Amino acid sequence: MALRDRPGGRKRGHLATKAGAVLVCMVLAALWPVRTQAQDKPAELGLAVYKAGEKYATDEHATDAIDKLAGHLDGALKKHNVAVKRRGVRNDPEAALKLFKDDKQPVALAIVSPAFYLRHKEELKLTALAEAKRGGKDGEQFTLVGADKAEKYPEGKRIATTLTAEQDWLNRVVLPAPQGAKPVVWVQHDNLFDAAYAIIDGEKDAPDFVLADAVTLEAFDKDGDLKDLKQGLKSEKLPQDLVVEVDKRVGAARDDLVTALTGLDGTEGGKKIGELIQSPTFRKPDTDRLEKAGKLWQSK
Amino acid sequence: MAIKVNRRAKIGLAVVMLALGYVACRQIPDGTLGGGSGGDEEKYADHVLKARDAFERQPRGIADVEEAASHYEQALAIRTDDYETLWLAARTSAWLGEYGADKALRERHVKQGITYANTALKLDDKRVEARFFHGVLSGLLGDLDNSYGMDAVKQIESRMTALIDEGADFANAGPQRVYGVLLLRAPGPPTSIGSLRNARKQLEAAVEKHPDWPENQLYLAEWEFAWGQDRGNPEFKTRARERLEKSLLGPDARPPAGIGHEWQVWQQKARKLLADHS
Repeated sequence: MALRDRPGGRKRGHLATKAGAVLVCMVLAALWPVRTQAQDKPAELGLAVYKAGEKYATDEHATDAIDKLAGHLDGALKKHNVAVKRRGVRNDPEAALKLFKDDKQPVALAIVSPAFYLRHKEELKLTALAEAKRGGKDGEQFTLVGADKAEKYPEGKRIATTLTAEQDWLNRVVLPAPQGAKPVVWVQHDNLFDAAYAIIDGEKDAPDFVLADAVTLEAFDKDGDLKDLKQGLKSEKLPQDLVVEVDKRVGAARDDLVTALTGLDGTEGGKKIGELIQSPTFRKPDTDRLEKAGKLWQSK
Repeated sequence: MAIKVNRRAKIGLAVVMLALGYVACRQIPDGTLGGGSGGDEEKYADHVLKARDAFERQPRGIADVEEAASHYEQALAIRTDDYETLWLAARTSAWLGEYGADKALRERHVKQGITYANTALKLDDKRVEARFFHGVLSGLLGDLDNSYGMDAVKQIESRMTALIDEGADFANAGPQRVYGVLLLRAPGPPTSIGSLRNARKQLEAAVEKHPDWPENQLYLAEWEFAWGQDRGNPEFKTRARERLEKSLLGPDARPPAGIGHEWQVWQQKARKLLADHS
């Protein structure tokens, strides 16, 4: 508030007093930001999100949800004087990697696919802190769905998926080909309903199978047109998306961060965030599952 | 007091982008108006008549509909037990929620409209009008505030599929159009219920029922662009361009009687579609 705006300020106004007050204000004003920065300004924890194969996992569409998650974590980590700030939401692995490599806007924690984690964990010094439970499910299991039941590895067949950006993950971990088998052909479909309808409608370029995650499989079961499709070969139980720490940047707030994530459904506010990001809560990473996936990932 | 109205409400109703990659979680408000049947009957009737007159002005503009909304608000401060007035007020709110200029005001109108629709449904939950506008207003709220997106999808799906199953023909194939646009724009599983194939069924049915309603043609054209792009088939893009030219942009395209501001908005959307797919 300017001096002259103070109630009664003008009436008291002796010139010397005013000048003194202005000086004091200038000194305080000059000192204030320094004091604030040194004592109060929270350290930023950059949050990045990479959601493989989701068309709308972009800054344009997902900002609101991720900002709310960041705000929720902020509240939980208040005593550490940190502020969780969204750095970006990406659905493309290369674009996601750029976020991690931007030194001007460092990323301290991120939600990434297990494939991204396994590919970059050494280079980016990633530590898995928590694992998503999309749709409330523990782990992810993919199923081949088609007009015919896939009893064994469907050599040379065309398989619809949203995950062609992570073909190494698909080929090494989700559906590894037996020795000498002709590899399957992964075909990108942004909408797995439409891929499945293409099969039952007998469309010319229809895929032979759809690779359905567990939540999509439930949606197929509920759909009058799709419920007769046959479920065949299933993947191992695999990790879901992981919350990772980058290069130990979460520091002393780490344990409270994990507590906030694994207890997300413990408060009304947390439940809403969980619905918002479609993972009602998180769990500590299943290390056996992750190691098993890691071994498959290492295979060629 | 019951007021006769034109049930084939000639207002443009589009539903909106919903259900994003990360969809959201707030429940569509379920509040109703308090009050009841007391108050100045003459004043009530006067407000209702003025509201109807303002809404029916031709060609209709934003100021006319805002005037109608103001009169409905005043009428419903007197009485809240008249289903007809409640659904007409909800319709007015839906119009402003879609075509109003200012986002904050649009949201205010949409929330008010949901309260009107809820109150109408409390009086009679079987009638088509309140069920339809409750679904539409839910969609508009989901568009204006993404945190309502997930519940909005549920509301639209349940309201519109029930109306379609019953064979209700309202607002120029409104249930098919609204549900079709939702299916067209929402993502597929595991995130939401979107499907181009299912959208096509609804949007083609809307055009079949009411081919002269430009909005039906507009959204079928949007579907054709999307399908053409998805399937790499330029034939559908050609069809979409021809459809927009014939129904909305060409020299022979004319707005339906009484349609003013909506026509300009539809034409803008048509031009944007053409620009996006040029």
